[in-house]
Amino acid sequence: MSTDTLQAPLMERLQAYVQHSASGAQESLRLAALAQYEALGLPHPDLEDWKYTNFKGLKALDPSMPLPILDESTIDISQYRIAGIDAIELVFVNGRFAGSLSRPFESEQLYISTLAKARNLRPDLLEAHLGKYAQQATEGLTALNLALANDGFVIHLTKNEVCDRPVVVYHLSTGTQERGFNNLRNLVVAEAGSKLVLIEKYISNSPIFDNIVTEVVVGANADVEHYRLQTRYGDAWQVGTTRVEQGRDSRYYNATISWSGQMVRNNLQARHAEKNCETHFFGLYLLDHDNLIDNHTLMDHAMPNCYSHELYKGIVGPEGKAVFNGKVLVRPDAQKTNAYQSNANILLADTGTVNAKPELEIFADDVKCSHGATVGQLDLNELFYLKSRGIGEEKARTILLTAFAGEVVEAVRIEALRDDLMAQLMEELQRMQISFE
Amino acid sequence: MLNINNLKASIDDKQILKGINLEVKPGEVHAIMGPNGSGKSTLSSVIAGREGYEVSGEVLFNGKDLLELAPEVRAWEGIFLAFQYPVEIPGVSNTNFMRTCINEQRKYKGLPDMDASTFLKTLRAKADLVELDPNLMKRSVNQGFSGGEKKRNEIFQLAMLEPKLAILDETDSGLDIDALRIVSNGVNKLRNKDNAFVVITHYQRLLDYIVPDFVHVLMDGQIVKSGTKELAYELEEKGYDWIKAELKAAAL
Repeated sequence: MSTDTLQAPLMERLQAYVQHSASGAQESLRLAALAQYEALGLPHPDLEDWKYTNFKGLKALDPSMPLPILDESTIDISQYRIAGIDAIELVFVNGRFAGSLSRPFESEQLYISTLAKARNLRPDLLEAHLGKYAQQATEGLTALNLALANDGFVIHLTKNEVCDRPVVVYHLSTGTQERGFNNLRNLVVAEAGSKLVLIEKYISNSPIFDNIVTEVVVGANADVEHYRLQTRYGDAWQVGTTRVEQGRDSRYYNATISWSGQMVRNNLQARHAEKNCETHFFGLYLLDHDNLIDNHTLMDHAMPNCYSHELYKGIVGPEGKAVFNGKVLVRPDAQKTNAYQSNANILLADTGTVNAKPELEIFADDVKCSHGATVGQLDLNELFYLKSRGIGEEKARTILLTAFAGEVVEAVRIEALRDDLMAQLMEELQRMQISFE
Repeated sequence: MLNINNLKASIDDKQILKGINLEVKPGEVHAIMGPNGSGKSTLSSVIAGREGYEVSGEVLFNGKDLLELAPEVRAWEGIFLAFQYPVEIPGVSNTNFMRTCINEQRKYKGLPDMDASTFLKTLRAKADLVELDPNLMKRSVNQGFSGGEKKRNEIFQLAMLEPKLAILDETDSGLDIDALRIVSNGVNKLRNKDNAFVVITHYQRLLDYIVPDFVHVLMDGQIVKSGTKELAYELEEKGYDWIKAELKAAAL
């Protein structure tokens, strides 16, 4: 029996789901995306891009199956809140916007809302941007996300609008022990001269599969600072795709910090659509015990005089599996490009694995590019130096690992978030050390 | 204070120390000189507890068998090694490093953490002792330090931790005369009747500034000659060959 006949009834169900959820222009966009998904299918290890990351059992899930709807009054979000930040907050529980738990904000210049609402109230915004940047023509899950996602966050800053409070989005999955399939679609449009700080925090105590796609448009001379935290993510799975489109003289700054989740794949892609852009990617991953964290980044230098800087660091304990694939593409027009990439890994045990693959493709001749990838163990000279000064083995290891990982946490520009992450980092490293003994 | 008896050490089946005997008493300064590859740095590494050596014999420190102790316990007991090549520790500031070292030592002795103001006062005083720029305290340990700054940082750490026995492993190598004076002054101010120094060096010059009570010649893994500071002048003048000849003659 071919897989097509097995898939057929599911595809019909998905089609009915889209037709039920959408109408008008959105309906045709979503049905077209569904057709693309049908052609592409789910990722599998035979694809070069998915060689090391295999979401076994994904095929058996019905992505249109609703997730449990919980009574918002029974949910305590305060325990997950980042302390010390006065923020605009959006809370999603099992893929639905939880209004009573949120502190949204809306003004003439600043629209911070949800995809479900924007579909009714801001069709112009969606029509101009939704699905215009992410790669649904080549990535099955991205196409599926566009077809099925009913909600997510939508942020729109008009020209020269400076959002002086960070926007924090909490994604909480809870209330079931069954693997659910959640599609969330997010859109950020920061118009010329505007400024936004965005924090996404993923929290889970359910074995959810989150398929997240976020499109970020950074207008001319605009600033977007974007943090993605997978720090209390339990046994969840995620494919999180962030696609950034940068206008002239714009700046985009991303830090992706992951030390939980059973299987996490982050795709971070930025494209310099116009000249003189600046992009920073920072990433940190800590994992052990059959966890997998996969970061695929793409820095697409398409125009001249742009700068990109990328630093990803990882610590991998026993049975942990880390993947880093960092592609820097310098297209023929991108003269005077400065592009730097570095990936450093520490393996704590020989049962851990790191697959590190930097990829530089340079088609312009007047550029400065460098990259480096290292996989090593804790430096024994450093360890002995600390011990000879009276610092015991375990403490010395924790100090060195904290210093190694701390370089990425230090890149977080919001002080309260940085302190919070630093404290958690030390706990997490201690936990890893204990499990290592 | 320190009694080394028939200490042998090998690494990867290559024997480097071939039976060292040495006694160091409180208040003394011992210099160990010898040609390259004679085992000087191995001796300091084995006393401080670096892993990777196969070791036999006995090293007693105030009656305790050092070879049984982890490196950090040796440090708490009062052993300090100033490294020939101080290690860079990216991401760990000098200040935090010193605070941790001091408080770990205090914990071992059953004392509470040093309070912040005493710590900072001590830090400043000891940095002054070796003329170390206070701004270096905020920087990562040894990272981006010049050769001289690294060596001064070793003596600064020595001053902070107040060991009973300090081993200076070629602290003078690579130092210009000004830095050498600063380092030596620091060491001389730290000398007292209760502590002791073992100074490992290639060059007699250092011993003009840190005047030793005893000079030992280490050759091919053994101490082959001991004497007073005059021996160092003799070595400086004549090199090591005459000792080799002397040994050969004695063996016949």
